Amino acid sequence: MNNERTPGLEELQERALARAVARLRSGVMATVFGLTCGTGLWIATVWLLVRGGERVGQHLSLLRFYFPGYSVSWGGAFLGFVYGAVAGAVIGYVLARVYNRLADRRAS
Amino acid sequence: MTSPDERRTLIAGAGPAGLACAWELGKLGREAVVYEQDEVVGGISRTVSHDGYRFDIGGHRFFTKVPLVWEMWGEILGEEFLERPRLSRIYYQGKFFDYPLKPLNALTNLGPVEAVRIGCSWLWARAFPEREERNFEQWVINRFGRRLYEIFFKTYTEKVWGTPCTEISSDWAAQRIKNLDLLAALKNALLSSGSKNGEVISTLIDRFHYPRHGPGMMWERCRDRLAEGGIATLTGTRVERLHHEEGRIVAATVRDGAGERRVPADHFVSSMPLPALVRSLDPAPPPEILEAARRLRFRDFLTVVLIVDKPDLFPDNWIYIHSPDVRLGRIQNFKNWSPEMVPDPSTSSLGLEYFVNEGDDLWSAADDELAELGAREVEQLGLLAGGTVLDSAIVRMPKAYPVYDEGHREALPRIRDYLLGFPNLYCVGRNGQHRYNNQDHSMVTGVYAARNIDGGAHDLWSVNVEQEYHEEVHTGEAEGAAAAGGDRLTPRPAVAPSLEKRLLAAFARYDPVALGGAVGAVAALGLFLATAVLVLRPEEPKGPTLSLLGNYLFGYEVSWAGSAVGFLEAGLAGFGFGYLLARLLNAMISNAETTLRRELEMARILE
Repeated sequence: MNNERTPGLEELQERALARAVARLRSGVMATVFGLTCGTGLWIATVWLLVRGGERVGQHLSLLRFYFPGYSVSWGGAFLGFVYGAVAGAVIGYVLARVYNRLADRRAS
Repeated sequence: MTSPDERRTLIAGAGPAGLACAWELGKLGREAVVYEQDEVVGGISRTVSHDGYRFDIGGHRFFTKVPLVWEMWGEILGEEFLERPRLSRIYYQGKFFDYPLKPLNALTNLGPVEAVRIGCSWLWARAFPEREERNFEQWVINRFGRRLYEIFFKTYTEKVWGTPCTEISSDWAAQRIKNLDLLAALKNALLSSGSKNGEVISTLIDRFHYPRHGPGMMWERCRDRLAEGGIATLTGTRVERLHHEEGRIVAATVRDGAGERRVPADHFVSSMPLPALVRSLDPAPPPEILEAARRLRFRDFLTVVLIVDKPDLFPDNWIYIHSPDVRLGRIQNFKNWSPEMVPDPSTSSLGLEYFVNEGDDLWSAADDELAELGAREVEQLGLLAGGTVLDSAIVRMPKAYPVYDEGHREALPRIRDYLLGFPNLYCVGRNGQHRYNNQDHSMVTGVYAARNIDGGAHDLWSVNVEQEYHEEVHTGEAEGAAAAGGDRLTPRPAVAPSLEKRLLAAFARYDPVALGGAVGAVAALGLFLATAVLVLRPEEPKGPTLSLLGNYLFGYEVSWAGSAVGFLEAGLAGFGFGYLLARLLNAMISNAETTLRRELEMARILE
């Protein structure tokens, strides 16, 4: 006669899983973005230097407007690695913090 | 057989809850008596007659997901049940909007400018929802955005409840508004037969069942069938006092045309309004309970019936009137509910519904004035189609809707806990629980009360506590409910936190809106800064290379104005990119989860 049904553990697990929202760890994001951007800029610079030519890195060198002292040269490649790493870390960190904040607000 | 007053199980109220309880008791072979203070049965689900014209107080579709209710309706009414097409629309600023809202229809009616405003307002609400959903306004804005709320919810809701939306509890919204947010509604409108994991989503109930002579027919037939089985329904009999001793109800004092008498009781089922029940207790409850009962409020209801000399006025069963320039809240076209509601096919009858408070100006107005007001307003709305009003009638229905306000939130649990101290007292129905149940949920409370009297242990107060109401039928869910006999009415236990943490770590999804917002913010700020740096530098021309972005971002250039344009457009592009990225990631996570499940399944089989 009892028509009530209590959901089983499996059903509850499914519901909890459906609700779960991932969070980004800002430290990890800063590290990953920093390393990726730093290495990326280093490779991009070195690639142009290895290829050579008349006007090496005409466009990439415009990054000097944002990264003072940067140029398409061996020294610039290492400086670019540092700049890229710092900029990437900032981007990754901000991205994670903004995402987590928005996700928290929406979840609450 | 014992006389009615010696049945020992007394039921107060012959509405759907009380009569369903009596019906179930009859099936269980138990005796009972039903007391009804009015002369008619059905409560608010009654049918009122005037010169052969029949009226429904509020419009009662017979729709349920609870199998036992459906079976009971069938047993009582059999072939007198009609299946009727449903059309209901919203009238706003001279236009008709489909109800339930269909986004494409709504956006077409509102025009492109308003559509953009609505879209922006919805995006904003999704990105920055109200943290706390305490009131109706917060609940709706979080799901539909502020603009849609102002157009489709605010005016009508305030008309119905007579209070600002900020003072109405969010419980009501969760219970009564369709569980569709704007995105879900758009999906539904664009994909006519949405299917996900075998679950067909049919969000719009476009047909419903209805007794041939209105809802009262169901309850009149129920009363007659009960009488045949020996369960009497005594109309014109009011429960005045409820006597209790040592924590049990022992008797009720009832009053009818012959005077008062005391009736002994083993069980008492009450669909009386909760404040009236509390006040009737003898000895009186503690002062804080009486005070809590005083804080429960009701909204009352008044129907102006107009009989018009036109066979067809409009195709709707009912129309919601959102226009703030009339006091009218809703119009019923009774003929479209059942052709037999109208005796003369060359005429129509309209029910003009006004939401009022007992004793206010409309409630107290003379019938002639109300008829005149109704005719004027329906003419003003252009719904009379050139017809002439032949006759009118006024129906006043007190305590039609329990009000979910801040007072109710605190007072109701206090009263409920106190009444639960009486093991042989069962509160059922809309007013009996001060809960905005439809008649199916009210009936379930009555049936469960009967089963408890027969030795069951159902928690009557947990019926219809599910937050979202049920107008969307997810077929899979309905089948599950049917298999379990209406499982959705049961409370849910909490999930173990350690399990939840593990699940979070394993297969949590990314929030697309949050990731979109984050990428958008970073992209917008990044382009703004990149542009600003170049603008501030002395070289000319400024940023010829970065200006090439103008090929992709409309109106962008390296200037202060361009930096603002770039900020907006890069923000939008970033949002789209982040949103899609999250969706893609989630799809991959879902895929990984499915693969793991299959592997586990296979491992189990091999074991």
